[in-house]
Amino acid sequence: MTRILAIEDDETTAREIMDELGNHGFEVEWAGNGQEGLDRALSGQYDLITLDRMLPFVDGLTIVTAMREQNIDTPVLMISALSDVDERVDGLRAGGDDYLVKPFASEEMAARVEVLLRRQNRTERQTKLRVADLELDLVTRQVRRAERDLDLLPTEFRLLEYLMRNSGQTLTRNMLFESVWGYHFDPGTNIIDVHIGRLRRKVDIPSLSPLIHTVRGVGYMLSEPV
Amino acid sequence: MLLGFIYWQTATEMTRRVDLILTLEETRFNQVSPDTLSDEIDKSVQRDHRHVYFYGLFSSDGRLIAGNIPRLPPGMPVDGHIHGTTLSATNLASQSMPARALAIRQGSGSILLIGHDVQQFTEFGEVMRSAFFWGGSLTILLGLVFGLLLSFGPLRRVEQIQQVCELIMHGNMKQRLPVSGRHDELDMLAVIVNKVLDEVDRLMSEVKSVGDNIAHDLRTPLTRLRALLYRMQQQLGDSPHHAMMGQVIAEVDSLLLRFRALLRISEIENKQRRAGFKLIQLPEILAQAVNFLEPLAENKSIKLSMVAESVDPINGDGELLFEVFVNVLDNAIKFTPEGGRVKVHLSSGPKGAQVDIVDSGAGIRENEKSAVLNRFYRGENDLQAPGFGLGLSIVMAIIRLHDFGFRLEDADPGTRATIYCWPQGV
Repeated sequence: MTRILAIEDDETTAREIMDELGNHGFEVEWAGNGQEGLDRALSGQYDLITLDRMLPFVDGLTIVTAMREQNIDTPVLMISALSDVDERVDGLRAGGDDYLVKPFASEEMAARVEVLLRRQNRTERQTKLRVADLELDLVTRQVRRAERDLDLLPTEFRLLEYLMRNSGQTLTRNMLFESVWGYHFDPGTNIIDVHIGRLRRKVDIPSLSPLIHTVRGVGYMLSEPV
Repeated sequence: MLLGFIYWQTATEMTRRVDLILTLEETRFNQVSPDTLSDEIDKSVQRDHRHVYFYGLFSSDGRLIAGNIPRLPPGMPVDGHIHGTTLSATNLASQSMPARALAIRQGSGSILLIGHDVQQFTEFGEVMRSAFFWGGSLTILLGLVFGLLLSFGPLRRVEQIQQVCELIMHGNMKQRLPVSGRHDELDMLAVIVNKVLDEVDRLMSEVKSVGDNIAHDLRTPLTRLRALLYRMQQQLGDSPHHAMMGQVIAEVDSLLLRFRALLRISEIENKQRRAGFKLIQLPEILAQAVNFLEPLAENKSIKLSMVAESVDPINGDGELLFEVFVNVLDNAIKFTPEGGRVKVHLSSGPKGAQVDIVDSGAGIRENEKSAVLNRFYRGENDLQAPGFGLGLSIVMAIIRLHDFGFRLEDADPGTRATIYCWPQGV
């Protein structure tokens, strides 16, 4: 069973994190202040930690720094009211693995947790990604679906690579934007959907069963046809 | 003026005196019997040691009988009145001199002419005129020099005030008008304006901090609200309320999106340090933004093109500038009808790089130009287009952080948005 520690001083937010991650089948424990959070985090018994940036007694940055100093590499999702790029950089530099800004949607938080856990389990360096009859070669940069070559633009290639690396995971629009384009703001409009639409037209041609699925109200997922 | 008046007064007075002398001389000669007149004239000539008098007695045919004038000056009226003329005397160097003279016909038909040299007046006039010229010129010159010197001081101060006012207009509310300490009118005005500015600044930061606090305090409740609604939806299962709850959550999400945009503006505006700045390649970032939005243009059959000249790297925050380009381009595409075009042009000017984004949309009305840059504003032409009106406010906040310039103008047809990527001195 995957164990997650939520370090969060606001009880309602903490309860929501616990409920949402519980629904995803995780066992979630709650630490209500920085000191308690630090002690438990340093025990190294968790698969992932969600960490509020601003906490009473010991703040989030101190906790993640202390963990990394003791070589505890548990993935950390930092949750903060500070959305500034500099704050994000500080958080990630201190050892955070991802950064989520309040107010956030529970699905977004859960999706990020899933991806972080998956990343943790992935060890070998792959040169080829494969989902059903879709194949992506990271070295030759060739993409094939049902034995036919697909002609993808560089952006579409990166988008597909990210979807395939996290196949079976729900990926939010923000996660796609951050990972594929490397920026951290609300791009607004429906531009991510348009990019996905374009990729879909090339990957999911009408005669084949679709691999790219829309997760309503959350984002997208690439997975084997059911 | 004064010199001119003195000259005029003096000349008039001197002429009056000479005329009086001439009248007296005429009276004297009238009392002399015609037989001794020529003797009397000769005596008078001899008595005149200063050589200022002219006497002449001419026969009716114009021949000199007695006196020191060789001939009657041509054009001299013989009417007993005094006239200005030029005379030359035999006992003097033969040059002609300016004179006052009267000529009168005697009973015998001979003509008596009495004159007085006014050369001195003319010389005096010359002296006065030259004094007038040099004095006047010097006065005007000195007046100009001192006037300029005196006006430079206040002018320089007015210029300083103008510069400071421009900084303030660009949002640098910490600037104050310079006070020289001379306690003159300009100082009094500057002190009053500075007091007004202090008060405006105080009120603005009060409003801003209230706004920021509200925004900050709302983060947690909004997170909770979103979470609780989502939780409820999860528990509703297949109930008919499930879909309705989905709509409620979508509304809350749209609220959160706007809310986050507001927080971002305030964050960018509060960002004083530019520690995150580094040398960035504009063509690269611009190409990324164009590439990012290209599918959006393609969906509307809009031709999106980019021309990038080579420009020097600039100091800035690449991530924020990408956001600027994406926002402006997104707007351009949004407001361009199907089948239109959007052109992106990066050029290098004498002051630095500039990015022009020109669309073929409806354009911006003159009276909407500054309004479109305000938070929440949306033009009347685009009520159907999606968007929150906050995009351009974020753009402005980022532009101000960089001290860059931004301009929206009607491109007739369409709109031209220009980003000037060099310090604007604010």
